[in-house]
Amino acid sequence: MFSCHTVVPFTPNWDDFSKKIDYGVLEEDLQAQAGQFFSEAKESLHPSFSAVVTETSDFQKEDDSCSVTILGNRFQGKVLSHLEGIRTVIPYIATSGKGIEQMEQGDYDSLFFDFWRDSMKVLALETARKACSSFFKDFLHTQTLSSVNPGSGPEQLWPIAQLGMLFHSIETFDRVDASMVRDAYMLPNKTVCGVFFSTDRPYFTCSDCQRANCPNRKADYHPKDIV
Amino acid sequence: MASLQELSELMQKGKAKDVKVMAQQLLDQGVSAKAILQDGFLAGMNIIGEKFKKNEIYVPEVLVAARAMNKGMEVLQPHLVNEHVDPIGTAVIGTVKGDLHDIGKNLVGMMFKGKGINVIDLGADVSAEEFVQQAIENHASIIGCSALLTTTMKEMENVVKEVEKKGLKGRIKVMVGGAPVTQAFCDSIGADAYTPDAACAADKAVQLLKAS
Repeated sequence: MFSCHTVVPFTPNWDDFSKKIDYGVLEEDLQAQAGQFFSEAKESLHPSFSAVVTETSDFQKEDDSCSVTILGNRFQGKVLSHLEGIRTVIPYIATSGKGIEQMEQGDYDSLFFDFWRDSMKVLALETARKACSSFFKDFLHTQTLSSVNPGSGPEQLWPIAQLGMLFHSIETFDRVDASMVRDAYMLPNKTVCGVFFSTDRPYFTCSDCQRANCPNRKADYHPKDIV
Repeated sequence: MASLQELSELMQKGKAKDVKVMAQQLLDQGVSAKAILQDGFLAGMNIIGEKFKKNEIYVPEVLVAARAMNKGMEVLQPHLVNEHVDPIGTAVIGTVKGDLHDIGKNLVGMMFKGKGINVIDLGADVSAEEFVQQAIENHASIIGCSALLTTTMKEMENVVKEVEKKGLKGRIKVMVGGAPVTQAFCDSIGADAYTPDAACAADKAVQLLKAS
């Protein structure tokens, strides 16, 4: 068993941010505000990840679901079928950090301020998650890590009710820069808790999502394969 | 000469300053505030809503259009009062207790306004009692509840029960929505309407208001 907590350097790139907020559709005054916002916000986030390398046990395939024990807890969900035959898994929590939440709205447009703040947090979360994935690819000497997360995609994949159990089991091993509220949602809001595992082919939860035209879609859209 | 069609198009593109100027021009040309509202702004927001529903546009485009409409409304508001043009109804909206997600709820608010509905936005983490109390105080005919989590969507049932407890069933309609919510769930808790997205929610709200 190995665990770690790492704060990831975050130097957001203007091109990524402007793409995320669709800078091109903004009027000049809003563009100026967006530029000002970026300058003010870019150093306010300190994304991090916490993770544990462990082994699964007692994998069981049931009629329409699967169950497996990770860190002493029994999890159940359709998506856990991807863990069949896999021993080493990495439960992890990646988070954007919350420094930006203290930022005052000031003169920023009220319709856009929260959206820009969330967009910056998304970039920070992506950085944390990518750093976590890269670290463990090296650690496990593998090319591809896939992730499954409670609450991601349709309910039957891996019910969100099991999120708290996974979150708290990671929390017992190392420092986590996020918190769980009422076992239902995580703060900061841009936090992901899931399980990485090594695969030959990458799996994305969005392959089970119906939104064909989603701008964040990573998997090809095959409606017949959606559970 | 400015036209309502042109105004609608400028609003859809998010040209807030131009919208403000053109709304004033139309008023100066003698076009009624009611016509500017209905055939300019609300018609434009309808198109935005339809495009959003079809995933042809995303959140930033909705935000710029909503901002342009808000700017135009600054010019229009006093004239609407003079012409005695009232909102078609009032809706109290919020994310249910235990849930802090509010982007979907905010979009619903914008789409509602785009239909001429007066919106009282209670924010996130709103208790059933608060929803109903605010609906009563603001003479709202609709309560719009949003939830993004399967664990918090159950709170919607408490809103329905609170409306019943106060004897307001039928007078205040409860609408539910959010990623995990379905028509089956809506039926099971006795809510009045479920819609899958913000644009559909606005259409449904108009139907409910017309029927009430």
